[in-house]
Amino acid sequence: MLTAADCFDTIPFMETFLTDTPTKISSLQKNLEKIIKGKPQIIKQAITALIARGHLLIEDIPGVGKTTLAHGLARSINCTFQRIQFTSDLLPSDIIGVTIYNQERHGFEFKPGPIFANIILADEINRTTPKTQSSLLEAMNDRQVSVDKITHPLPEPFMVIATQNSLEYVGTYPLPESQLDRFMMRIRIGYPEAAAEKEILLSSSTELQPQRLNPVLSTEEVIYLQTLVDKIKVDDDLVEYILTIADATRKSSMLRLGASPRGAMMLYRAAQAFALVEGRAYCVPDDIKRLSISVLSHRVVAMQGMEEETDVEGIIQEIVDGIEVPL
Amino acid sequence: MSYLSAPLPWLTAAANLLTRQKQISKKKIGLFVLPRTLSFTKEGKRFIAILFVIGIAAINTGNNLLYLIVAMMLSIIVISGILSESTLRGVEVCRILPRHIFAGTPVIVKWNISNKKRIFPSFSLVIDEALPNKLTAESGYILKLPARTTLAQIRPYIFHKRGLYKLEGFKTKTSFPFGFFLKGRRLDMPEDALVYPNIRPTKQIAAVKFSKSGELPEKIKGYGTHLYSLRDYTLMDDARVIHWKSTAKTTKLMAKEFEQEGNKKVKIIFYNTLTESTSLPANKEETISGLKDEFEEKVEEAASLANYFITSGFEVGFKSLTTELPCRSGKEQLYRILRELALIEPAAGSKNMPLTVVVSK
Amino acid sequence: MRFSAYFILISYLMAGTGLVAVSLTNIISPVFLIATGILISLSFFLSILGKPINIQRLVWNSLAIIILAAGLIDYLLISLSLIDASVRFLTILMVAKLFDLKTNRDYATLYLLTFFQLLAASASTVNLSFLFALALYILTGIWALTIFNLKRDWEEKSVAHNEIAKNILDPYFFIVTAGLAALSLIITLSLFFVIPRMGVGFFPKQTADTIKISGFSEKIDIGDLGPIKLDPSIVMRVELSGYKTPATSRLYFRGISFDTYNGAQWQQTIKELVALHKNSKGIWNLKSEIQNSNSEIIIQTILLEPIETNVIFAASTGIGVSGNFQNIAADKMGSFYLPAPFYSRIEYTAYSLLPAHPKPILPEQSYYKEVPLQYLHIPSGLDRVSVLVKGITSGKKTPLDKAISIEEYLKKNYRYTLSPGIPDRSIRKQEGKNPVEDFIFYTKAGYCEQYATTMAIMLRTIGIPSRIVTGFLPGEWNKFGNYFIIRNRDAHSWVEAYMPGAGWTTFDPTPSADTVGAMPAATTAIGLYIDTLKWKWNRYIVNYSFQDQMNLAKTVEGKGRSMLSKLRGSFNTKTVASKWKDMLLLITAVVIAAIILITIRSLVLRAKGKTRWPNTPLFYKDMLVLLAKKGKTKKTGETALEFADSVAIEGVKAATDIYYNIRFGGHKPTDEEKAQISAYLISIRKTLP
Repeated sequence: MLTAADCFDTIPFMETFLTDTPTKISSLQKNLEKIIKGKPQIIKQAITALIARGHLLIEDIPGVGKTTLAHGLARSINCTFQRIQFTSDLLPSDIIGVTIYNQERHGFEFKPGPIFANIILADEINRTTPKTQSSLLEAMNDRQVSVDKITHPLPEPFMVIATQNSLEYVGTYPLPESQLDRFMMRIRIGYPEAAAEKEILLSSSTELQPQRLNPVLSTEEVIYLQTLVDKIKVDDDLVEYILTIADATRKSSMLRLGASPRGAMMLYRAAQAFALVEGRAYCVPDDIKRLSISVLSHRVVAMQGMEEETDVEGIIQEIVDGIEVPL
Repeated sequence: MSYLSAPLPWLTAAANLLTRQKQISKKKIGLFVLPRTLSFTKEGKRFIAILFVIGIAAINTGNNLLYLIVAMMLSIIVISGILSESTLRGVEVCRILPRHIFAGTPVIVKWNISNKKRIFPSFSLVIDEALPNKLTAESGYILKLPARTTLAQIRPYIFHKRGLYKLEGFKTKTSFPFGFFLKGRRLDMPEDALVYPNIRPTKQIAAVKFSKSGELPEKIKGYGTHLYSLRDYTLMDDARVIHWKSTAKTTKLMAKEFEQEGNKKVKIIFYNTLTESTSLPANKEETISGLKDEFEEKVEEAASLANYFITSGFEVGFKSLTTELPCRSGKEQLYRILRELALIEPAAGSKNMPLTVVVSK
Repeated sequence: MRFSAYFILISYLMAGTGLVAVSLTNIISPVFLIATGILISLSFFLSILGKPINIQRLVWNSLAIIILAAGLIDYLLISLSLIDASVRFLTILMVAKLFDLKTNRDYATLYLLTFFQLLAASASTVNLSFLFALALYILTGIWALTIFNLKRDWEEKSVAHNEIAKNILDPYFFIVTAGLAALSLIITLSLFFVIPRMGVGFFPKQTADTIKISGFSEKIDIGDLGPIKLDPSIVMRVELSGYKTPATSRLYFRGISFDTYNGAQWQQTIKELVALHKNSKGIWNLKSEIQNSNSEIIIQTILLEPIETNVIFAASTGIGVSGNFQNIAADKMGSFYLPAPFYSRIEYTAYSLLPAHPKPILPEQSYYKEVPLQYLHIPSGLDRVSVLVKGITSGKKTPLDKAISIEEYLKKNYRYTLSPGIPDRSIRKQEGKNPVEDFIFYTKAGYCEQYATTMAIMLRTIGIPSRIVTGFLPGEWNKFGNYFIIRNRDAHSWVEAYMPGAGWTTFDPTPSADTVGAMPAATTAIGLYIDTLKWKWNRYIVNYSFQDQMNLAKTVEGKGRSMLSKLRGSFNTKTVASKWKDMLLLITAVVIAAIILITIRSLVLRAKGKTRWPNTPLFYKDMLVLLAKKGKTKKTGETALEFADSVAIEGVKAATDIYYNIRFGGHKPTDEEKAQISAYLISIRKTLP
């Protein structure tokens, strides 16, 4: 009788995997840890999103290092980086680009916007109007932009790291659920631990600047890692586990809206990527359980009175804790 | 203290002296409330009836085996009492209310139900909020609560009216083990819940009507996203505002102008007077209830308006005959206004101002 | 096991218990019982396979009406007994109900039917097995009702309308249920003894199985007792108050006596019965006998099976009887009679005088005229006998000496046999004119009847008034319950002769009489033990009375007073050896109980681990079992790594990593890893307390 291991061509993959992948990823992680102190899990999740071809939404109060993380990630990879500060007067064309009339050539020509880069930092995305937001989000989803019926593909790898300030309401346009669904994960950086905070305090002003970082990965290597993610083995019982979690969010009486099918899909991919980040060629239940909050909490809508992010994350945690983990 | 309260008057008196503070806070529980309630289910009544019949038969026939069956049935009652007591004992419930509660809409309340017993689990527990008539709360049911564990349950509550609710505690009930008796126990868990008036979309339509009828600030030019008008491009303008399509059409540079978005300010003024409306119904009680309904209606209208403007990005202020809140924006401001509206009562006001809600700039 | 299967199983267990209860009654025939059993099993297997045959409601209702009609016909035309008819009716109805279990209501009806079956059993049996049926019913009843009630509550009140959670079905649930059943049984028995009793009932008690016996009717043929001498069925159990050992002088449990012998059979011609008066203590006294009460009184508590006669027994010379009777009569020969033959087990107390040793007194002239003439009547044709008797008694002066010499002569010269060959008389060359001559001169072998008849006749030929008595020897002493078990085979007959100055005196010429009582020593200790249980059941449950209740109250009062001093004294009085013995017993019991518990537990844990997640490596499941023994159980919502972190025991985390690699990574464990795993498991086991 054949076992799963016999059916899959695991050995060669394992070999290549075991030789260089973990070192690549850990060098990326170490690089980022130079500027973001005391948050290894956050860094891991950011790398997970990157190699899972996902986009990341960082939501937190100002001053915990949202921008640093995004910038650092971009600097660590030898790739193009664009930062877009979202303001109320930002127009869709300011992101995607604009077709202008070239009087010399007597024709329209496309001036690409800042979105044509590998890593985009969309700072304070909720400060701009829904129209502008949706133009970005559509591009994120399709990995291409269409201006005046001409499609322009976006570069690979392509990742949007959006930040959002959860505290302020004045003059903000919160992203609707349908748009939030396009982010693979929403993470929260949170306050640093006391030891890490002391380290931050004592370090010199330039020491924690993302500019200081040297690239450790090329874009090709990132693309290679992204293809590796697909090969990560996920046991049938774990697929079942993911589906059970997604289903439970739909059935929960605490949630008005459960996770979309895309949510389950994203959880699957994120778990694969996370396994890779952890240096494994296979998924374990912990990957799924640990990521479920980041992947699912922004895709669900809680009942009235519990809409705050911390509440929602608590609800997801509770749901996941109540589901039997495959043994 | 409730254990001591029932049988002996002098003991109750002594207990009252010892625990005066507590008695005052629990005065609703009263002196003669037993610590447990017990009622028969339909099956229980039948069981007792059969027990009586067999008992009479045993006495009549002197058949000792019938006496044995009577004894067995009595032992079943004893066992039932022991088990139901064990299931009710050591169970504690605490509730976690959501931060914001709106009247008339379901809210989610979390119950943490814990079994503090060391060994024995509790079975088949029905848990109810002990204030059944003022709010609708589904009763919770737990099949098994193992020893030394806490279980969270989510219950939708509906608070029917706005205002401050003084929640008292819970009633736990069980028909465990045999379903012959329904034993109940009271669990004290006093807590205050502030309930905001309901926000109704229909009332928001009224707000939209306000804005249409010109009472709201008109659209002005400024920095926004909505197109206000097109005009010729001047050198003062940002290049980004060039509208390329019309430029291509007209062969001269055209610039877009946008609507102003910020700095929208309104003040909701609530004349919470209790003046009689235009027509007087003959019945006085009807008048009063009618007035009350009208007042509640106006409270909801004010709340809905506040919600509408806050979510539309306005800075909203609130003014009533008793309080005034300065204009601010953001959700926190909405809750501030709602808190006022939750507790607002009719106040004696000037007679020339009827009960109305006014939106002013 | 799925909950529905569990529930079906327990419901059918209850149905089975109901069937066991009615099977005790002997009302339903074995064929009926087997048919019912087969139908129940059929219904059970169909239900548990999820393909129950469900009769349409209309069909079921009409079926129920037909069953009711059949029951009525049974009652009115066939059995004429309400209980018999209702037992059959209930059983058929229950079987029909098993094919109509849809709603909770149906299950409740089923439980109610089983209860009525138990009730019917209680009304028609008094067997000890009823106690076991009751215990079984309490166990299954508590179990089924609890599960049923949980199920119903769950269906009514739970939000999620899925099947009930399985976690309540753990073995602990059953263990606790069993414990509760035991508690309930204890409460039942204690309540049973304290529920106030109201004297006598208005209706007669139920019947027990009647035992066929002969020798206690108006006449007795020689040879009547023969066949029953091999019958081991128990006739009565006798407790002697104050005696913890059988070491009393030989007792004869006297039934009735016969005065007239016509050459072939003994008859009672003195038949008039005298109703006895009940004295203030509730004893029916035989007045004539109480006067010469200078000898020892022995009180016997007798539990008598129904033997189709109205004679009741008392040891030696009965002087009084007390019991739950309307009245008691006695004949002139000192036998006690109930007003009518009884068809149920009865319990009564008899008061007797132990026979004083008569002194050899020379009779005054014609002392025998004190007794009726029948006691001296002899059939004709016994001349040869009287010659022999004169030879035997020559030189003896007093009637007592004469009687003793006859007794000894018979004992010495004749052989005891149960097959004296009476039917073969025709083929023998010589034969006597009558059975007595036959016995004395030809066969010279026989059993008690021949001996007793011969001695009585011999006495009469020399003018000593005599009669024969039928009754029982003490039989077997049950050392566990301290009482005599008297069986049919202990039936005996002996002689009473009227002695001057002493009155009627017992003589027993049967040589084996000494050994008759010891004969059935084949009963095993277990048999004795079970009989003790049966006896206690009958003595203290079935025949528990108001009087017993009063006695109990007095005993409890007295015991309570002396309890403390006894407790204090118990350690001093007990020898060291017996203390050791007790301790040893206790320790053994505890160890056995612990072993059983651990075995069950480990079996259950193993079974639990094996059913779900078939792909999980066994070593990990074993590790979970090990850790569970340490009190560290993995929650279902916990991942293996989280669990490993939380237990913080060396080796667990490493083993978990290997487990993950094998389980989710498709990795095949190397020999090195296998060795590592076993090392981890051993180290974890070592940390166990």
